Amino acid sequence: MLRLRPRRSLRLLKKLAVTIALYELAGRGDAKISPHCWKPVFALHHKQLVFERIGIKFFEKDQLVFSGQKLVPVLQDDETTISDSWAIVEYLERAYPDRPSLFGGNIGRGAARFIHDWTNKVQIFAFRRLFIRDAFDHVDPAEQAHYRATREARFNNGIDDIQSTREHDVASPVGGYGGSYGGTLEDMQADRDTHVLNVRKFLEPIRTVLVRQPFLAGDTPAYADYSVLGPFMWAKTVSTFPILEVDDPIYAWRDRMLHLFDDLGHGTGYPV
Amino acid sequence: MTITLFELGGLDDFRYCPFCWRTLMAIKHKRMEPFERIPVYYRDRSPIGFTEQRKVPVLVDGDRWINDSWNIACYLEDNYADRPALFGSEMGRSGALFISAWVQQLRRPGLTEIVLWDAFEHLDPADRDWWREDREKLFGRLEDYKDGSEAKADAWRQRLEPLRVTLAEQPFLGGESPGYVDYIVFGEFQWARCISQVELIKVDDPIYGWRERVLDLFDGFARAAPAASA
Repeated sequence: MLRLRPRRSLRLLKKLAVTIALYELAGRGDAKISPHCWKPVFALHHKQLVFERIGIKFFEKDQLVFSGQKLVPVLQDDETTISDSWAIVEYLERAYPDRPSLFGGNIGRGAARFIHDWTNKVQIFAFRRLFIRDAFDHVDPAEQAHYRATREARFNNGIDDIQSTREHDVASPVGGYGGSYGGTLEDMQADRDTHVLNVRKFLEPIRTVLVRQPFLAGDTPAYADYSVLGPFMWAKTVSTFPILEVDDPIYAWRDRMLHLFDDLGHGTGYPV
Repeated sequence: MTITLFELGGLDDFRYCPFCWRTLMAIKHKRMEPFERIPVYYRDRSPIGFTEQRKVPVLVDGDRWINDSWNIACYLEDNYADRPALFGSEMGRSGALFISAWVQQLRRPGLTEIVLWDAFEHLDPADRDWWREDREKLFGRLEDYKDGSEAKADAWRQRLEPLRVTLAEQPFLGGESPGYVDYIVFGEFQWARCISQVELIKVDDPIYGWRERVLDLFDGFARAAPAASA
């Protein structure tokens, strides 16, 4: 048996101990209900890091005070604290360069940034109307009135500005990616059987890549895949509504993605 | 060995084809100087008859020819790996594929309808009858596109939001320096710039500054092209 000198074993122990924590938005039963938080979850697994997931509910944001701001996700890695999902994945790539790459160099990072922004500005906005009422059911009951009031006010008035929507509250209603909508949460979701046909069209750039290769990043998945998977994880956490048709290349891709990291995705939320 | 690019020709010396601009910028990026540019017109594809297909751009490098701007970019990257990278990695290449598909969404419906009449006016006169007949099957009467471009541009500009957000964070789509991802998107703007005076992007938009930076690349190569807009 290997004998370690005390100091060295201490260091080794510290290395083995979990020093990384990810603070994520949580709902009823600690369900992880933010598309933005799922991106770093998969990125952390990609980097083969062991980490703890800490759920934060809407009314528990004061627990994030150590990060100097109030939005999830927040990553704490030993002495380092980072908020904003893009900043987190960039940090992981920088801090763990010997682990599998998330971006594949500078141009890859630049392009991944665009896909990240496309996820936020197109995909999430388009998805929201498919299951926002279902999402409400998965918010902690004590926070549901707050959730309803803030969402209905925001999406009705188009006051969805960049500042109020950074991170977990998502994109502005611009660009015709979902049309204008309003009313109650029930109203917003009411036309989902027809809206989903538009959503499938918005996803065309993903489809174009996936008819040529198994993952958005190439032969193996990387951050571009995790970014686009984020909203799909959000969806399956809160809703059974079928976003994709079975013969869509995106359907098979999603299945491959959900199998990653010991079925992390398949083991979460509703089956798809 | 000098390479040759066969590209779409237009009225006088206007060369506006967005796909050809992707390739032109890729050639400059790879420092493939000097290179020859030969115009091909809609009515007469005989200059690329040797390829037995009708699509431009066509790149000829020694005894090889390649068509389709994407295939050309991949060819240049793979065969001139010691030159500045267009993709940098498989992930970079894959990201460019995604952005290319996004641009395709923006083109139609979108930019095509905004500049359709301008495109007609910048054709070589001998190409116009053929082009009108071909395009009117898809779009209806060309004259219906003479007016209303500014309003269409207002709506189109909103759809650029993901690009705007990215370019507010970094100077190029390729990050700190340009890559093929930039040239894919730039091709659309250069197409419009060559043939149309419609104000696509406002001065205070992060996209405006990016377009200026790309126009400045390679000693202002794209800026020096004959264009309808400043």
